[in-house]
Amino acid sequence: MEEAKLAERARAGDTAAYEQLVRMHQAVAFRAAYLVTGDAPEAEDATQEAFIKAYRALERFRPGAPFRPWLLTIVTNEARNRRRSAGRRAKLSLQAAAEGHVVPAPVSPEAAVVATERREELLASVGELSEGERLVISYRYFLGLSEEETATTLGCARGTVKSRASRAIARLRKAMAREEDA
Amino acid sequence: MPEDRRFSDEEIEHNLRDLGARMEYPTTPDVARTVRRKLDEEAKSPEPRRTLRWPPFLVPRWTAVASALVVICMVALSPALRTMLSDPFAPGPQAGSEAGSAAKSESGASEDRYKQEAGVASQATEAPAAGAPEAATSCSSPSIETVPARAASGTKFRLHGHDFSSDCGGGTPSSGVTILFRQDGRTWRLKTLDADRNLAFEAGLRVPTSAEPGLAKVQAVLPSGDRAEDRFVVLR
Repeated sequence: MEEAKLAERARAGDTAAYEQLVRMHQAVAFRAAYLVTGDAPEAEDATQEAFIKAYRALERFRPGAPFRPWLLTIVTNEARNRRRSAGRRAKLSLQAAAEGHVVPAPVSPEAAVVATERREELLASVGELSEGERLVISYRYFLGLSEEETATTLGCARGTVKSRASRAIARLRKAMAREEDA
Repeated sequence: MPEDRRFSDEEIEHNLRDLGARMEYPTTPDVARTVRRKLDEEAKSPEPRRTLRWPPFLVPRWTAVASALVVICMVALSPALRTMLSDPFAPGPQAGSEAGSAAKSESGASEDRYKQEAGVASQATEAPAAGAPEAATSCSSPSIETVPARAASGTKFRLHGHDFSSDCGGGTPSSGVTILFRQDGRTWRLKTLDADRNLAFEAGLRVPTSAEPGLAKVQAVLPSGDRAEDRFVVLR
């Protein structure tokens, strides 16, 4: 069944329809939360709570509007609140990925080592960005959200997403150049 | 100073996309079932958790003003009430009242919600009388209890778990229940265990040595994503 119909039924109190809707979006929601919290159990809690809050807020969801960015806004807020209450750990998700989750490409061993090192350096540089820039980069390039979806999800203007991405890329360029020179 | 242009925007964007494609995230938990179960339980509960809807003749603003006047008059006239109301947040017989928990559920504070959910989980096994016919057809929520509920870091405590079934109360004990100790965003994985044929378990655990004095919680997470939790206080 298509998303709009499921949302409509869920809005009328059909929890089975909502379960289907959750299943359609739980992967991207969990990843978004994980990119914010950097902690799997915390991301799971945030995702679960966000879906419950979203259900309660369905009356405010505009029929026909895309569900994913609306949902991801709630997920991101929930995850941010949890991370803020923890008071640290803004970079954990990227550090964790750098420590062992990056899958090497099937090329020569030397090239693979160099490529892995570069990715790890880039990942570390992303982790050094400010939260606003890091989330724009993570959502745009890691989650594959469009500029508009990223703007809706982060609750800012599309122009802000553009400028943050541009600033972040400039910083990453500098970092990459430093690594190259080192 | 001119900007270093050895790497173009396109190249960096390409590298970022490549990085995104190669990142391995933790396995996505199946939260859909848990979310639905919670929503169904909430719908069955006689206590509404949605926003209070006022009848048209009871405009909250004027009702609040009238109530405040009544309360002020009562307090002014009764020394006993003055004494009782001097510490409105002290724990007492009213602490778990329906009005109190309804107000808390609207607050949105995550810690409060944790406490409330933990309360719901523990009540599910103790007091099914309110909805006995429904309880027979719905899953019993798993629950856990830490004994003692307060201990210093590095010391031992026991954990009791009940109603850990993998088939919604069908009698199959859960296996692979992960016990987590959580505090201020930090998580320690204490143990993974299986429920016995009574759908229960008991385990001797130790408070993580790096846990700090203050509030914490112990969680038992089933492979399905369902969980039970209990509050824990780490002593100095």
